[in-house]
Amino acid sequence: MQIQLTKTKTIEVKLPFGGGGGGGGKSRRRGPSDVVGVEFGSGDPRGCPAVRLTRKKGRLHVYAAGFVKPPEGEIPQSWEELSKQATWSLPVDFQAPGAALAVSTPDMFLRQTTPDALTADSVSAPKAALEQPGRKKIGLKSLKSEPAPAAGPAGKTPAPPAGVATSNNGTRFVVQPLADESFIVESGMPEYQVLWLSRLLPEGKRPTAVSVQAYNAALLSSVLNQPEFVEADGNALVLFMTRESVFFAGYQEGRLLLLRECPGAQGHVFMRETVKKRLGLDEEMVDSVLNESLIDPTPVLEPFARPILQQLEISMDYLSRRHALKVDKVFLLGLPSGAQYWSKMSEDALKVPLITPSTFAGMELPAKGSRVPEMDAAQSQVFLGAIGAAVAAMEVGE
Amino acid sequence: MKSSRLHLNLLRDSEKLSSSPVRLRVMLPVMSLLACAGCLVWWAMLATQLLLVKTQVSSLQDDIAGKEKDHANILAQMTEAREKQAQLDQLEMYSAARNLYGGMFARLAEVMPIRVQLTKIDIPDQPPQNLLPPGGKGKPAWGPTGTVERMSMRLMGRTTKETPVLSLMESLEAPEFTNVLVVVKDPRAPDVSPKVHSFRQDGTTAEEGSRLLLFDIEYRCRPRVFEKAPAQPAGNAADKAKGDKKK
Repeated sequence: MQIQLTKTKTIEVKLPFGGGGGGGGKSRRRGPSDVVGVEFGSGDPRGCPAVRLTRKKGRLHVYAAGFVKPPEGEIPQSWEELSKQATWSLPVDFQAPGAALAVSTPDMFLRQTTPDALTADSVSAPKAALEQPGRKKIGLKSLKSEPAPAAGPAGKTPAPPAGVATSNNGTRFVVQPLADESFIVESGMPEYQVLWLSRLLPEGKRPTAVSVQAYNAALLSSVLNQPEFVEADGNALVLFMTRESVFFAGYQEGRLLLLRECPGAQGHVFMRETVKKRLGLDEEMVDSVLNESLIDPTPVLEPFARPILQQLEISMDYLSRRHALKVDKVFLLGLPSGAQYWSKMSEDALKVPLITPSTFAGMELPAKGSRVPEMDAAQSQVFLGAIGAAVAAMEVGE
Repeated sequence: MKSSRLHLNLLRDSEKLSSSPVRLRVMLPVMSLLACAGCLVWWAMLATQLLLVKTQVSSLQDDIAGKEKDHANILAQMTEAREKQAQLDQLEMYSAARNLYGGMFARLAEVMPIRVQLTKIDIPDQPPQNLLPPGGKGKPAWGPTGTVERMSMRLMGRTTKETPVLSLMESLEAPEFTNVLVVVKDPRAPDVSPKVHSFRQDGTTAEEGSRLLLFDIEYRCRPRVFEKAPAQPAGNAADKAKGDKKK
């Protein structure tokens, strides 16, 4: 347990029975049992995908799912815009005590790195970058961020504790170690955006933000409750396809082991546009072509899929050689249409089919059907970020 | 499957807001103050009630002390009233026990034969009662034990022969006398009335030289009953009153 005496002095108290300690040894407790996950900035014309999850007797229940109207204001792009604070009110079905926001902005990042590389980055950061304009008191909360980590005896900046949000160079970031402890995963976004998001849902009214995650970081948790993932003891490779990027995540016993973004690969929006252009389809026909078998879009998809499948093969090889992890199941998540063609191409090339389950698989759906729209597995992929954010927030309370 | 540790939360604990409209940091002091105020009000009510009860107790004690004198006075008056009532009852009993002999004497003069001279008419007092308990042991009773007094009347006089006396005794059997005197001629009766105590010749002689006879006859009278006169029924009393008016 850390107690901050002054702005610069902090003492650490270790309590018996694991009640103290910081960093990687920090005690973990179960998170809230009723959380609404909302994808903020999805760009979906229907609204922001939102899923309210509750945990009863160890099982996750979907209380409600749907699209909610986005807030009036725009997420700030600079410190100056931070003063334009918007407030957001969710519909009644989504008014859980806590909200987990999966935020999709161009400034967010998620990457695999090493502690040494992270330390080097923070040392090389110019001090002037810390002095952001507009960092003054707004409202009741001070916007002053934490001071930069103090240099250690050897002149190196110590790595920030795992799971604790830290500010550096105007960026709020958080790290977690991978299953291979020599690597860490780092996620972050500009500090002003986090501050703006923290007050987006006002105090004293349900819900309030208990978690703000980068969209890609939220996706990592979305697979944890999939029955086939659990059946494989958490050993799997997941191909996440977002609107604008594609990345792999390898899991060993449920812990993240590998995170790799496909270089040069663009998301499913680009793929959809390509199909639309090459086949001369209008907007409504694209989904029909990709989800049905009237026209085979494989020739159009193949140039798009080939480098990704090559990266998939490399990743599987890496996991097999480096970690002796033979992956039997590969998931393809986040792709709203055409998943069956991707699976066929993967099976032809790698002899490994791609599994695309419903994002709600493994969860109890409400008896009252009106709270969850009817959808198939492909259509449910749009809720992937919202579910991942909620599951992550429920997994660990901090 | 191990814990995933994939919650990459960018929020700090200090930035998390409470969704509850009731905030403990505000409500706890308010609730504490309200609880204290409630306790104070409760205690004040208890103290007020205690004070009221004490005041009532003291006023009741004063009231009782003030009424003790009156109570004793009332008790004394009640005792006096009982005594008076006892006296009245006694007087009423005496009144009820009164036997009237005047009318009988007035009639006696009318039926008196010529040859009879009464020398004494005596209604003797009752001999004193034995107030000792049976066996003669123990304390004597405070007053008479019976409510009935036997009464008698003795006629003593002189006559020249027996016949006028017998004529007088027959006259005394008339109803005008038997409401006072009791006549029982049956010789087997235990208490015969009249009882002739003596009928003898006098030693002295009359002026004409004839010899006189002395007689002593005792008549039993109606007894004196020391009891309250039975209350007459209302109907009878009203009828009697009507009868008096008609007369």
